[in-house]
Amino acid sequence: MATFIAIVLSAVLTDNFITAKTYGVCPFLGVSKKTSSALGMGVAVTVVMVLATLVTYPIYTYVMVPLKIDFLEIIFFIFIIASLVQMLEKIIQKVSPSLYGAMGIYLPLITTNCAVLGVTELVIGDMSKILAEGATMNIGWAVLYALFAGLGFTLVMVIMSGMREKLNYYKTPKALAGFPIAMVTACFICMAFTVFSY
Amino acid sequence: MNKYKKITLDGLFFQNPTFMLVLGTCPTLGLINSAFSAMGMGLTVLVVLTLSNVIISLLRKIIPNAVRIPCYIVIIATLVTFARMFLEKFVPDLYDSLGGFLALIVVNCIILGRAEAFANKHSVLESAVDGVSQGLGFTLALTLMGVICEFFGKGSLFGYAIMDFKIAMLATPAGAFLIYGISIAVFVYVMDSIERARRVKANKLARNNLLKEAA
Amino acid sequence: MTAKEFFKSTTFRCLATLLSILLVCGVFLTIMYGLLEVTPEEKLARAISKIYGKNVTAEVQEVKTKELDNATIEEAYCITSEGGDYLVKSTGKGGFAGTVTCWVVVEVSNGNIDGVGKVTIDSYVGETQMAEIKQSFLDSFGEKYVDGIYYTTDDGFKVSSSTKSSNAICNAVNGALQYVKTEKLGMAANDIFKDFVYTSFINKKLSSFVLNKNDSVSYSLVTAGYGAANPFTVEITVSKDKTISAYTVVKDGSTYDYDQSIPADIKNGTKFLGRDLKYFTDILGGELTYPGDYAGTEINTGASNSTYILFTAAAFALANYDNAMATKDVFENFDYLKFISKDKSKFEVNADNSVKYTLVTAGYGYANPFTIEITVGADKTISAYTIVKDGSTEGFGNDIPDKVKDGSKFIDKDLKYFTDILGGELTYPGDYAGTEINTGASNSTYILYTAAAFALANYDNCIPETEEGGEANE
Repeated sequence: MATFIAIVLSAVLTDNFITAKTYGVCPFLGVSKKTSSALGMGVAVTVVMVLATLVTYPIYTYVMVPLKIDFLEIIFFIFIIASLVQMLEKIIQKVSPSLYGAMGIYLPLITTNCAVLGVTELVIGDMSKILAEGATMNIGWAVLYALFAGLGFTLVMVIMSGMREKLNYYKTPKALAGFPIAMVTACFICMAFTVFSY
Repeated sequence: MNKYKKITLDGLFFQNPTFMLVLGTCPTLGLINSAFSAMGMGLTVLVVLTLSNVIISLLRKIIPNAVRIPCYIVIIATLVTFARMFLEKFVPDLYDSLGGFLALIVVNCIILGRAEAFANKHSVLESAVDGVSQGLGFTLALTLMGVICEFFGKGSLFGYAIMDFKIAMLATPAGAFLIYGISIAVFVYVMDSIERARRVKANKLARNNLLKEAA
Repeated sequence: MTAKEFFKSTTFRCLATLLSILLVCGVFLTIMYGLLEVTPEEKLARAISKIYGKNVTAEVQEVKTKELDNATIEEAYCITSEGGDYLVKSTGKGGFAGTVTCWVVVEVSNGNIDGVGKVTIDSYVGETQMAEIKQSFLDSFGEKYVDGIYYTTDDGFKVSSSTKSSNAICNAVNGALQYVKTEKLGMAANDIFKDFVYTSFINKKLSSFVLNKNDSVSYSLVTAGYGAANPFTVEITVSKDKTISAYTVVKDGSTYDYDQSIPADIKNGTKFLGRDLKYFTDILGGELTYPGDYAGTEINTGASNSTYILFTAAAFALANYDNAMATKDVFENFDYLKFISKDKSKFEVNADNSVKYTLVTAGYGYANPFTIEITVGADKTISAYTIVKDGSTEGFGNDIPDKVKDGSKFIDKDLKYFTDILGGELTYPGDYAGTEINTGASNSTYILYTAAAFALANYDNCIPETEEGGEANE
């Protein structure tokens, strides 16, 4: 139980992927102009993160480490992620065109998203901070962590999109328009999230 | 203008990956709290980018179009893995300070982007120059922001304490976003001014030529 | 599609290129991995060069307990070329958001911890303010070392802008010290010389003592060195009247030919027989200080250092007679010890040869330890039974039968009564066995019965043995 709470709190609040780790920043800056697209991107990223962890963690722990080929992890992981995203896109396109319209278009962008590869690399590393006394890392905690990390990502995306939508009503100086003002906005969101670190 | 000069200037200024193209933002924001790790990341990306450009340019006629992305990814992933091994063995301080971002170089949009946009269409030498200049542009941008963030955020420079006054916020991701955003604004403004001045000069030249001909 | 067409098709070309690239890359990386792998030996060598700056011989030490309260001991080495200091890789918990791993040099001499040497940071997880930790902070551990210190940020071992990281580093150093103290030097848990005086004169790790049946204490002491003299090994027996009854020099530590200058009666120990502590403190003072080479005292023999060592060893033996006797295990050879807490229980023998026990029991099931006073008469039956502290929990105390609770149930019972109910091993009969134990507060009742059985069974062990005549005086 303690591990579960630690995972939720750290993945969403204290170690948020965007505000604390600066992992999923490209879509954060690119797709967060409207709340609907932000939400769609966030959900898509979460889904890919969970699936990627679900596949890469067992392969790493039960296949690569025993065979001592764990140094090839980057190649394996990125390959798995790229293939997963391709398959997911095709499946969603076939199964639910409406869902595809909502979030499927973001999927190709997610292949190169730091958040996805980042979470798969994180869970195979040192997770002692979030594990309770005596608990060991297993695929359950890994997937759970990926899920809440994705939800935290979505949360910050939605917050950002809300602020950016509001910004549209104001006139920004020409030099600051576009990326700069988005970054400054992000700065304030990050500052807000630091309250959770203490 | 000599094409190599154009490629170099593009990589460094007019198409600077960090300030103009805004690519590779994740390691940028994560590492500029320390000038040492910022510069280290920049140099690592420079090496990986150049090697990747060269290799992909060499193989550009062989790799079929349909599988080019997976092939590029495998090549880049191999280079990043090699870089990681190399750093862990020979420069462990840098390896420690880069942390998780070292592995994330493989999804750095700059490298895949340049491979897709440049290396598979240009010769090996041109691709190499492009790799070096884009990498240098990235490194300079990161180092500049790293120096600012570290100096004002921690009062030190490359690990050496300089002053006691510090604005701690600048050493956090929030500060990174702020400095990055302001830097983009400043850089774009400067570049725009240069562009405008050049255009004005070119226009003047063209007008003078026209007047000369008319006369 | 025929085979030939397949081999010409784009699908094949795609697959072939991809697979061959994968193969080349895989081979390349495997070769690189073989060349560039950083072995643990290399990591150790790096840490060593950072600390010592030169080649040293490091022997791997076994780490039996890796997880301590606030630290994890990763690796430990004994640096034999630096006088047996220990290099410990310790990860301190309680950082800002994670842990800090440090290499700690624990300086050891004469079986005691001498101090803390250089401390360096190996790595850290989750700490963001590590840039604030300077070498001067890490050096302060060695500079401010005091025997038995437990470094805490409250005592000032911190860097103000990274107090939590400092906390983790303190924990790492404390963990290293605890590891060396308990596992390597055999101290703390088993420090037989705890509370002893004048311990600076002896090597605690190599010295020992035994308690003899006639209440004399026989020491086997390896002393500390002094001046030109190396450690001596001496065997000293202090008898019940706190005088020396035997003194033998087993190993002479004098150097050069000084041993020729030690007076014969000091060398063969006869000088010390029958002496008490006052004799020695008169010559050397309460602190047993070396009087100087020409003070004209009994120490100045021409082999003053060696003589000083022999005198201080004798003083140590005499001064600690009571401390040694206090380590006597009064419950040695007792039966049914698992039912009581040895440290907290005691007994006394009365004039009429009855034994009054004050027992703090062990807990059982839901019941916490009870404190009970039991008197066993010379006829080996219980003559008094009083519960001083009830250990039952959750209201079970109300379910204990009155006669058991006020002890009247046990009066005049002998050991057989209890072994009939519980068997020779006094095993718990189970919650529904239908015996006298099953009262509705079975755990508490079981404890009360086993305490009584303990008291009865050990009556003979409490009565001291009479001295046998003719026992050799050691």
